[in-house]
Order: sequence, then C-alpha cells, then structure tokens
Amino acid sequence: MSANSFYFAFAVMAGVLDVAANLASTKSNGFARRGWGVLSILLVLAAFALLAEAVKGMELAIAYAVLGATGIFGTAICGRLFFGQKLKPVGWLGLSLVFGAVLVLHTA
Amino acid sequence: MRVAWLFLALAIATEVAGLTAMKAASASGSYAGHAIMYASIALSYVFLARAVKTISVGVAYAIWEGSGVALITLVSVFVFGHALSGREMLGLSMAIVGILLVNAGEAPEEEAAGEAAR
Repeated sequence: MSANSFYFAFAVMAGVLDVAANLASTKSNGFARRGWGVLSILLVLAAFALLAEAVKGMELAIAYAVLGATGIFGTAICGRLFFGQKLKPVGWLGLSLVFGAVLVLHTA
Repeated sequence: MRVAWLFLALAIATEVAGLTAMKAASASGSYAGHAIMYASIALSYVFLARAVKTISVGVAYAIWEGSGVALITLVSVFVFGHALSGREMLGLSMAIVGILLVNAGEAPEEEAAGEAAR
C-alpha cells in the first residue's frame, strides 16, 4: 500500500510539473524570453521522467488519468489565476469531457 | 491567430511522435526510443510556447492533451491494425466534442486583458 501511494505521488508530481511547464511556456512569450522557454522544456522533461518512474509501479492508464486531471484542470485554473485567462462555463464542460476522453481511451 | 493554431497542430504532431516512440521504447526498453521521446516532447513544447502567445494556455493544453490521446488511438488503428472498440469510439467522440466546447468557451476579451497584464 505504501509502495502504491509512492508511485501515485510520482504521477501527481508529474502533473504538477506539467502545469508549471505550461505556465513557463506562456511566460516565455513564444520563446522570446529564452530562460522561461528553456525552463518550460526542462520542467516537461522532468514531468515525463517522473511519469516513466510512476508507471513502473502502477497502471499506465491510472498514471495518465492522474496526469490528465492535474494537467488539464491545473493549467486552466492557473491560467486564470496568473494570466487572467477566463473560461466560459461551456469551456469547463469541454475540459471535463476532454478529461473524460483521456480516462476512457487510456482504460479502453 | 491562425499561425498560433498551426503551431498548436505542430505541437500535437510532435507530441504524438514522442508518445509513439515511448510506446515502442517501453516494449523494447531501448535507450534510442527514450531519447527520441524526450527530443520530440522538447520540440513539442517549443511549438506550444508559440501557440500560447495568442491562445489561452488552459485551452491550448486541453486541446494538446485531448488530440494527443485521440490521435494515439487512431495511430494504433491505422498503423498497427487495431480494431476500434465501442469504448474507444465513445472516448474519441468525447475528445472531439470536448475540444469543440473548450474552443467555444474561450473568452476573448479576458484573453486580451491577460495579454496586457503580461
């Protein structure tokens, strides 16, 4: 059980790094600010490395579901908080459907 | 605006290439497969950075993620001759409808405000 939650934590961390990578990518202003751009790439590579660790001890489908949930909703929430990029209610419904699709396709 | 969508499409294409390499690498355990995966993902983020100059990051990422998983499924159908199950058809439809709704939900005036704040 403790081993399971250990791998689960890796998957969550991968999602958090993915969100951070997206924010850095936005900050980079299309790579005009090199530092932010390089940081975003390093963050996403770290996210994938953690995902690769996570799937050693858990189902790929579950790891992807965790990553998808953290990444999709985390990015939308942080985009709103940090960049004022609001989404209409129909957009949040769309995010939920995309997340649902990630769940359905990875467990199919 | 149109250029941003082109960059998003390129980001998705490189992501799918990377994930395909990862699938192949996890089966064979080859280092080359992993190297290709990391290179593709890095390139994908260069394109994504260009896309999110004009598209809201939450919208761009959801489309990136949703299209990625949908295309990977289609790759397994068309390249590896995998038969599409009912569940997969449901997933693909959810991805398409979800992406359309996310697009419809983008609030342009707020996006402009966010741009100015940066």
